[in-house]
Amino acid sequence: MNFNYLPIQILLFVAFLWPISRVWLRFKENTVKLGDFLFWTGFWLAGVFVIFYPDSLTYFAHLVGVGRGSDLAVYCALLILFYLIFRINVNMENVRHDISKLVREIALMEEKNKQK
Amino acid sequence: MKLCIILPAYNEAQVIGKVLIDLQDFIRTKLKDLDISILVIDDGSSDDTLEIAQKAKVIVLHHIINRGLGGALATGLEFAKKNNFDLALTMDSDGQHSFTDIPKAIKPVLANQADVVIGSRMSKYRDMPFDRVVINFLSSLITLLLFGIWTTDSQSGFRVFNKKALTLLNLKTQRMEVSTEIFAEIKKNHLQFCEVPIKVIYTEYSRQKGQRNLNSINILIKLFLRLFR
Repeated sequence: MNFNYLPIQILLFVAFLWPISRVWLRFKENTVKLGDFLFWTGFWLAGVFVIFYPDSLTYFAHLVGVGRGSDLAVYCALLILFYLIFRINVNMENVRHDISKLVREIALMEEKNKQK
Repeated sequence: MKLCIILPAYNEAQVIGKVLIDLQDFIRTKLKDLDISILVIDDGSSDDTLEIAQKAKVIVLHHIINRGLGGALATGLEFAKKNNFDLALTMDSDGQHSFTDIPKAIKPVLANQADVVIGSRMSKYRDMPFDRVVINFLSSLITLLLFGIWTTDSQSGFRVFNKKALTLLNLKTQRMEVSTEIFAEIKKNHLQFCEVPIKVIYTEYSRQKGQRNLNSINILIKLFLRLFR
């Protein structure tokens, strides 16, 4: 095993440990289900693997016509980020809708009480 | 025949008092055969809209926080549904709609020719500012592309719904995009709709209060998101 790691590899490793620890804590609190826990832990551990073995991605990169593994990682990260932003926006719209429902119920209830 | 006239209002203190008095006068003189209730939805106004509407002796529902046109309209339609109204008519509270269009707009619904009537401003587009003509045309095009239904005026606030439409409509959007969403619901629920030409009174006040042209981009994003909800 090669122990001469670049500073960026150490930094990324530490950065990836943080979400792993969050997922573990949420799992212990029972706010994350076993399936989600396994998925996200696997996802971040795969990231850790790629940090220390960057060439492992080159095979997949060549499969999809990308020259370098690191480029493939950046493209994938961008795609995931765009998707997550989209999902957050959809969820925000759902939350806004729920708030409106609550405000509506209060308005209708006040009117009903006035009629009594 | 019970008709509920719904006026969503947000910071309309300058004009809403006069609009309500004029509307009440019009109903007393021209629509006395119908059982009509006026409903104002105060959408969390920070001015005196709520107090002025309450003094006018109409039904007033108060949103404790601002939820936007879509939120206010959905509250009005829900009230009409829960209180067993046969028809609901929505119009703007800034005085840009003419009350004389009310009998014309409810006629197709009373004759069972439509479940929803849209008051179209495009038949008198010469009265409309040019930027609004362009924005309205693009909005109608987007309505066609996203929801497969063509209208000459997708952004009109003048609409009539019968009981069937009141029961089936399920509005999810919060702000100006609701005008386009209504067409999506018409299509989804196979409601019959028709358009009637209406007159619009453009004043400096209504121009300032109306949609900003750049807001169209925001509306488009919200409509796109609605497809995935």
